[in-house]
Amino acid sequence: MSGGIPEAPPVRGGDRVYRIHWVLGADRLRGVCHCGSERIFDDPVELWEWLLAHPDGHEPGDVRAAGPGPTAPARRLVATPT
Amino acid sequence: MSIAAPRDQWYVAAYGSEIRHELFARTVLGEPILFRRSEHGEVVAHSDRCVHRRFPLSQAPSRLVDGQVVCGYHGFTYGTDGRCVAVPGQTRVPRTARLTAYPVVELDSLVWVWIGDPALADPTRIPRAPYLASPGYTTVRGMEPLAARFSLLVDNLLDLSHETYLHGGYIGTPEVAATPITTEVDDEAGVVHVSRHMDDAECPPFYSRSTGLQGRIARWQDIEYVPPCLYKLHSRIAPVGSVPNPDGTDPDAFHVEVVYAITPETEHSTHDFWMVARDFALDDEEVSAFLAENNRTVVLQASRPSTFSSGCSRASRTATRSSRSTSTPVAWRRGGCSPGWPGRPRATPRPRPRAPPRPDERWHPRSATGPRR
Ligand code: FES
Ligand SMILES: [Fe+2]
Ligand SMILES: [Zn+2]
Repeated sequence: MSGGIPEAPPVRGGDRVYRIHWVLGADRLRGVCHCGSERIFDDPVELWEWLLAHPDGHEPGDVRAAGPGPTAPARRLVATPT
Repeated sequence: MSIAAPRDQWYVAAYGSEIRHELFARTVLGEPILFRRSEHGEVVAHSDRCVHRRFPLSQAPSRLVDGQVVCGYHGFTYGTDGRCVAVPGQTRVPRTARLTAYPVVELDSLVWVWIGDPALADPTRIPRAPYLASPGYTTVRGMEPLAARFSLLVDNLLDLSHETYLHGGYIGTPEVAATPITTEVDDEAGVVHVSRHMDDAECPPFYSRSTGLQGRIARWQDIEYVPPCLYKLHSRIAPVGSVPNPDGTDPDAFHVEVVYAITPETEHSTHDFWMVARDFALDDEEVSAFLAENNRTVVLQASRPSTFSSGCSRASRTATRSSRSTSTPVAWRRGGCSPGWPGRPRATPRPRPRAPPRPDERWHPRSATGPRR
């Protein structure tokens, strides 16, 4: 629980669980990586790009909203080779 | 983007009740497979093509004679293990003449077949749904052959079914606005889980009629998608304040288990097995009919091409592009529209093209879903 955003209780245990919470009453999502890093997104696509880029751009304890601005980390992670 | 259905996976090929001692053919991932029960009652599965000239063994004049399959073209004869035991006009049968065998497991009333390298088939990886075969539940079920590509269907089935069951009847109500929705993607286990637990909600008329619950209820909805094939929606209805016991028993609650098994037939067609199990009103035909009709409608809606442009599918496309994993195909693991569900809130205020559903419509997909974008 972070930033006062309510969430459903955890169900899955395990070491590699990504959790995505709908920000109540808003069209936003809060993504939480298994490493503890979390961020808020407007766009689920960008959210998943950021989550799947772990550990790039992930810092546990780092809580911030990703905006559309030039500094938004999700943008530059799009090209992560697969 | 088109995503091929993953190999080296278990798929539901049939309901156990479909397979008797006669020959039964079904195509899974483009592979024609011949099923039947051995004399001991277990399901066996082999290629449905004769090793001689590939004549279909499920097709007349091919036939079953004393438990052996006799090819209708030149009479090659196969035993229960798939081995060729007789070739007309030949005293010797080549040792290598045998039908390709498929690993097959009958579990929870479903017949699972392994498509891929048989050496990798691990039956412990088959996802379970024990209520489907439990005497404590009544299950209605069906199967729709759909002319839709598997990947699109996964997106849309997930989308439509959650539209109906997760959002259904609650769009714009205070319960929605006040209830968190959390999606969990468990990379190791290969499970997508979506939870929405409304602890103090209005009881939909269908539930008050069929369970006898009156007044406010706790209404929990949990989706467990085990890619690629099995989608389970657990719906729990209970008096406010009641929670399951630590040992998992839940005597004060009523449960509906909705299951879809989504199995690609070919690149462009899909078998859609759907089941609804409940642990209340077990003998009530009206309840059975309601649940069956409700689900069949959802399934058929999902196959309509006009529904293939939901916002939810964006997330899964992206997940696919980002895939890195090899064990369970990541496209399915990251799962359908689930990452986007909470973020595509038909649950948040958005102009609806119709009036709010009347109370009696609440559990009906047509009224709950409304026109698609
Ligand atoms: S094709 Fe079956 S025996 Fe020749
Ligand atoms: Fe949705
Ligand atoms: Zn991380």
